[in-house]
Parts: sequence; C-alpha cells; structure tokens
Amino acid sequence: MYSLDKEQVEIITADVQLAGITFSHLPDDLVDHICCEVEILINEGKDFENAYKIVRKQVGIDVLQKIQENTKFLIDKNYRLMKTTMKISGNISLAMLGFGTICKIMHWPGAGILLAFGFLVLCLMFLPMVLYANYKNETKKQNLFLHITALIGCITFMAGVLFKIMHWPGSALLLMVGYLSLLLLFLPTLLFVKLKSAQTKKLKSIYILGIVSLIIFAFSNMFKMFHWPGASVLMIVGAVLLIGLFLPLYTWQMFKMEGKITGQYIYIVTISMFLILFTSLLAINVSKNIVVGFVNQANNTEVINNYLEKKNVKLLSEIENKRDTLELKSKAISIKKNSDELCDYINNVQMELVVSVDNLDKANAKRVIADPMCIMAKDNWDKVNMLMIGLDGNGKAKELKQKLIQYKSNLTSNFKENTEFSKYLDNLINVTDKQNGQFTVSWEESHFYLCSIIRAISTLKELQSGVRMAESAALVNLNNL
Amino acid sequence: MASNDLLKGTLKPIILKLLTENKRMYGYEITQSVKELSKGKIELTFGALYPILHKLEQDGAVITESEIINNRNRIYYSLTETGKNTAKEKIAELEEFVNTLRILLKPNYGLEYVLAR
Amino acid sequence: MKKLIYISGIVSANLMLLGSIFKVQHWPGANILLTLSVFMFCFMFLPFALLSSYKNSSPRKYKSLYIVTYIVFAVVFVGALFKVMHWSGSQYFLIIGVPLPFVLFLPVYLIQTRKEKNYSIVNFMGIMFGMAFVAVFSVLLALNVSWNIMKNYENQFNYNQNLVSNIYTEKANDDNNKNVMQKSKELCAFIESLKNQMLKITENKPENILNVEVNQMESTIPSIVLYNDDKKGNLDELKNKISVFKQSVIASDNASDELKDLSKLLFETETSVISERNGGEIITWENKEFIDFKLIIVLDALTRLESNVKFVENQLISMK
Repeated sequence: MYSLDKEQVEIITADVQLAGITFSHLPDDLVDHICCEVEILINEGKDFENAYKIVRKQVGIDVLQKIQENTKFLIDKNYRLMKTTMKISGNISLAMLGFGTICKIMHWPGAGILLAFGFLVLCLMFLPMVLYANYKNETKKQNLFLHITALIGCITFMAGVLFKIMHWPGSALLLMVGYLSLLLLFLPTLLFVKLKSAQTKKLKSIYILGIVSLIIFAFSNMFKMFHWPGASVLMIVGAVLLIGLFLPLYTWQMFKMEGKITGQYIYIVTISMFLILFTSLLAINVSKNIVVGFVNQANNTEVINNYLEKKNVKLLSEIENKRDTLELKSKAISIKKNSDELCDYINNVQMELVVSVDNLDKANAKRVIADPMCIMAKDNWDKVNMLMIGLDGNGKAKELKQKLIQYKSNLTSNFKENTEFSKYLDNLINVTDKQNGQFTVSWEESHFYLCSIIRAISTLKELQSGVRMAESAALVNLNNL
Repeated sequence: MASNDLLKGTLKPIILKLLTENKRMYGYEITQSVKELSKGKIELTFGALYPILHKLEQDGAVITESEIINNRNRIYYSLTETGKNTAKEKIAELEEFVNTLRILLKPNYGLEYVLAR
Repeated sequence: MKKLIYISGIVSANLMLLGSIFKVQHWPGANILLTLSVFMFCFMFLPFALLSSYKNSSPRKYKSLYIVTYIVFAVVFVGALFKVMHWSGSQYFLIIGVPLPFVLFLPVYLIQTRKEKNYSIVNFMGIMFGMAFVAVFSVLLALNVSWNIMKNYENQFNYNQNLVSNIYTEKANDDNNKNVMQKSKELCAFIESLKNQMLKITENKPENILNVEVNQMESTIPSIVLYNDDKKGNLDELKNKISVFKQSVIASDNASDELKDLSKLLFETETSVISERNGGEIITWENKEFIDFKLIIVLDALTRLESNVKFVENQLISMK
C-alpha cells in the first residue's frame, strides 16, 4: 500500500486552503479523504500528478466550498437565518431598484420612493449580511479590515448615487467618500490579501494587473463624475489595461486550469462588456438638468411674444384711427392677418409635436405649450425628426419654410423701395441653407435634425417672435409712410 | 444505483449503523464500507457525508479524535453514549419504514387482501 | 471549439473597448467597431459559451435559465448598440432593454435556483452585485440626455447672439431716453465683460469654445468669474445693474404700460421659486438661469439677458 509523502500532502493541503476551507476540522477531513482517493489511484499504477488530476476533476474548488457551505448551513442556525434574510432582502431591493428605474424612465409616479427604499434595503440589510456571511467564511485577521472597508465604501457610494438621483444635497461629498474608501482602502487591501493567497508568480502578476487597472478605471469614473481634467486619459489607460491585458491573461489562466467554459467566465466577460458600454453611454450623455436652459429660453420668448402681440394690436388700431387712406388700412389689416395665420400655424405645429411626444389631448397640449417645463420627455428627438423632417425629407419643416418665405415676400411687397427693411427681415427670419465646409446643411436640418422637443418648441417660439417683430416693424413703417 | 431522492433522509441512519458496528471510523472508510456493503448500489459521496458528520458532532452524537497517519491528520469518529441511543432509535425508525414500504410495494397486495377475507 | 469561444470573448470585449474609445474621442470607425463587437458577442460568444457551459454541467439543469440569459443579454446589448448609434427605434431600448434583466432574467434565475440549497453564496452575490450595478447605471443613464443636445445649445446661443449683434442694432440718438440708454449701455458692457473674462480664461474664441465639449461643460470658470473675482461678487453687481435698468425703464415717461410689465417680467431677479417637482427645493434666479454654472449655459443665459435688455431699449426708443 502506497502512502503519500510529506510534500504531496502539502500540495493537497495548500489547494484545500486555497478553496477557503477553514471550518472546524473540515480541512483535515477533506485533506485526508482526498489523500486516500489519490493513494488508491496510485496503487492502481498511476503517478501522483495524474492521480491527483483525476481526483481534482471530481473534487474541484467549487465542490469543496459547497461542502463547507452545506456543513455550515446544517449546523449554524444564525447562518441559515442570515442567508435567508440576505436572499430575501437582496431580491426585494433589486426588484424595487428595477421597478424604480422603469418608473423613472417612463415618468410614472413613485419612482423616487421605490428607488430610495431599494437603496435603503440594499445598503442597510443586504450589504451588511453579505459581508457578514463572507466574513464568517474567513478566519484571517486582516480580512476583517477588508470587509469593513468594503461595507463602508459600498454604503456611502450607494447613498451618494441615491442622493444624486433624488437631487438631495451632499451627493458629491458622499460619492467622493465612497469612491475614495473603495479605491484607496478596499482595493489595495484586496490586492494584499489576494497576493498572500496567490501561489505562482504568474497568478500574482495577474492579480496586481487586474486590481491596479480597476483602480485606474474607477478613478477615471470619479474624475468624470466631478468634471475634473484628465478623466478621458485615465479612462483609456484603465480600460486598456483591464480589457486589453487583464482579460486575455485571465482567460488564458482559466483555459489552462479548467479547460471548460464556466459560468464565471461568461459572467466576467458579460459584466466587463456592460461596464464599457455603460461608461461610454454615460460619457456621450450629459445631465438632464441642462434641458431647463431650453425651457428658460422658451419662456423668455413666450413673454416677448405676448408683449409683441399686444403691441401690434395697438399699432394696428393706431393706424386704423389715424389714417384715412383705405389702401394703407387694408395693407395693415392684411399684414396682421398674414402674421396671425402664420403664428397660428406655428402654434399648431407645436401642438402636434407635444401631442405626438407626450400623448396628450388638445387641451392639455395647449397648457403644456404655454409652460414647456411640463413636457415629460423633454429630450425626445426622434418624434421631432419624424414629424418635422420625415423619412423622405417632406416633413412639417419644409412646409414651414415655404410659409415663412411666402410671408416674407408678402411683407416686402409692401415696401418695395425699402431695401433696409428687407435686409432687416432677412436677418430676422433667416431660412437660408448653411454652408458647412463642403456640405450644405439645409435650414430644416440645421434647426430640426437631432433636435430635442424642448429646443424645437423654443425654436418655433423664436420663429413666432421673428414674425411678430417683422409685423411690428412693417406696421411702424406703414405708419411712417 | 439508488437515486439521490430516495437516499435523502436514510444517510444519517446508515452512518449511525456503521458507527455502532465499528468502534471508530474515518470519513473515507465510511464511504468505502457503504460502497462495499451495498455492492456499489449506494454511493455515499463525501459531499453528503461530512456535513452530516459535523451535524452529528454538534448534536453530541459522535466525538472526534485526531491522529497523525501518513503525514496527515486523520479524524476518527466514534459514537458517544447519547449517540448510541440515537442510533438505536434511528435504525429502528428506518427499519420500520422499510417494512412499511415493502408491504406497500408487494405486487399483488390487493389480491392477498381479498383472499385473506 | 473552446478556444474559439475564449478568443471570441476576448476579441469582442476588446473591439467594444476600442469602439468606445473611438466613439468618445470622435474618431472615425467607431460605429463599425462597436457594431462588430456587439454582433460578435451576441451571435458568437454568448450562445456558444452558454451552450458549452450547459453541455458541461452534469446533470443538465436550468435549460430555461440558459435560454432566458441569452435572450435578455442579447436584447440588452443590441438595444444599447441602437442607442449608441442613434438608430431609429433606440427609444425602445429604454422601454424594453432596461427592465428586461429585472422582469425576465431575475425571476427566472430565482425560480430556477430556488430549490437548490447547495447553490454557492459566491454565485448569488455575483449575480446580485451585477444586477445592482446594472440598475445603478440604468438610473444614471435615465437621468442623462445625449450629448447631441449640446448642439441644440449652440443653436440657441447663435440665435440669441444673432439678435444681439444683427437685429437690435439701431441706435438713434434719443434725448428723451438718455437715462435708460445710459443704464442699458452700462449693463450690456458689464455683461460683455463677464463673457469676455470667461472666454479669456479658457483662451478660446467664442466660435471655438462651443465646439469643445469639455469647455462647454466647464463649471469652475463661470463660478470664478461670477462669484470670486476680486471678492467683489460680480453676480451681485450684475443683479444690481439689472434692477437699476429695470427701474429706469419703469420710471421712464415714454414707456408704455405693456413695456413696463414686460421689463418687470424679464428682469425679475430677486424672487425665488419653490419647485414642487423637486420636493420643495428653493430655486433662486441664478440657479434657474445658470444651471450648475456650466460654461455654455451661463454664456447662453448672459447673451439672452443682453438681448432682452437691447430689445426693451429698442422698443422704448421706437415709441413715439
């Protein structure tokens, strides 16, 4: 009967340790069991390496961990209770977060409450449970520090995200603290712990590479969030290290060790794809707050339009009272009529836009146009595209342009000899195409292509403003004739 | 080979039975003797064995002693006094269950029932 | 076969990385790289890897989980691709793609692994953290709008600039309105100086500044210029000058009632609005106009203010 020598036993013991088996005398049980199986195979005529390889295929790290997990589960009531709570709280918080996200996107009410509660459950129940459960599996002293930093970092970070979403003050500070404790405390400690457990030099360098690149990448995210300079350089360096170097090395290691596709590998690739995709999506996006700037402009223009409308009515009545030439009167009236028609038309276009974007009825649409802050999907642009430009380029914008040109020519026909007026008019209502390098960008495209609904509304109001100003100038000119 | 579903719940009595018959055993020995006695029909995987052994130890049914054999610690399990009582109970329970099953599974149970009348 | 799967995983992740870098830096070719990577991931790596993993697992369990995983992640990635590319139909990404992991993947995953007592705690944590990560990013994304909207800002800025420099230019010498004209001149000069200070710090001409995205979103320069310049508080001075101008218009004998009302509306800088949408947050004039003190927004708001001043002044002069 062959029996394993000291070195061979040590190899097996090290592997069992690597799997993180620490519970009671379970490591001794398992080492002995594996040794017995290997000895049997060696007695059948295999050498140690091959024999151990065969046994390891049946008894991988995951199997060993599962045994420990089951043992604890059977024995420890608290552990069982905690694990159940962890599962339930995790599911509840995730469901809340998920639904909150959907509500937020669909502009349904209740998103704030759902998100807040989701984050609360996640931070105060799930995360501590997870870390406690994980900590119970470990015995080494320095790992306590690891778990505490992870807990603090995750909770502050999550709270920061919640504050940011809810527009509560202090989000920047929380995010900063969360980021820093994760970056400067948790990740280096993790590196330290991993390095201690790593066996080969190659594995060590892979761990160092992975965690350093993760730190760089997270730093770049932080820089981006606070709009500090240098974010993009850091991001590129971090991402290249992470995806370009760490992932292939890690894959290679996996390939050598396991030889089969594991769920873990699929998970890592999918998550890293998510990471890049979301980061790049966020990078080409800006905070939604800034649409308020368009609302300001729209409101401002609306105020001016109201003033001009009143003023023009007054001007018209002045002409009607003062002048007795029928010709002038009828000219003035036709100018007024033309402008009113055009402004009404533009109003209708605004209505159609709002109706198609927010699915409103006519009465609500009118209210929303007067107060553009009420538009729900302020940044929607593809409905604007469809309506204003259309698939074949024959959208409303083309019709609008024709009407504007028509209006301008009607006005100038009244003052044929006045070149200054027509110049003023051209500046005021400029519908010419733009020359951009070699390309010609049509007026329709430069104003309504990739244009958010809120800007489109404000552009249309600006056009109304131009029409009213032109009308006003024309009426003043008539009055002076 | 017996399926996992059937084995569930019978493993504990089986282990206890083995321990009553042998003074002390170690884990590998238990799996091997189950395999031998059942002629390979029941395989007690060590994934199922150790959690049960630890549970028994926690309940005070077995005690462990460790001994260095072939360069490694070998953990021997043996029954305590309470453990012996538990073993008797559990084994009796299982036997009764098996007998009941046998009656239930008799091929022409219905016919015998009629003839007996 | 396994090698192929490993390689396709690495290649698609790297292509995605390259594509993202190209996209963010506005280099050409980004779209091809991203499309290629997403298609490689969705139609090579993911199905084959899942299939291989399924075949390797003994006993073969969770068939529906594998299928659902494939469907969900393929849809999410293709949807995200649509979103990045601004292809039409991308709005359905948010509606379908974002909830899908939560309403389809998570329940199936939980139901399938519910009875599995042995299921490793590490796997569970991994999935949970992954999903939390997806949720956080989705919410952040929902709070953001496409960079394209900055083009809209340039548009708006140009409109206001056009009003200031081309439309409201007529300057008749009008003795009756000397006071108002004087105040307007001072205010406009002050606004121009503020704008120039900001542009000077970035050392860019106005037409350049609008094309550099980093500059557009710069927020320290405007706050330096508006708040801390020589500790004088330019913002207070600006508000002061606005209200002086407003008073001069209201006090003017020539102004019509409508014009007085208009200037009251346009130059209201003191009252704060209590926003009902953001839970009773008090929004001051400067918070409303200079959102987050982003450079382009501040410039735009200042230009709009200038155009309003000149408009009112013009209206006053043209009154007879």
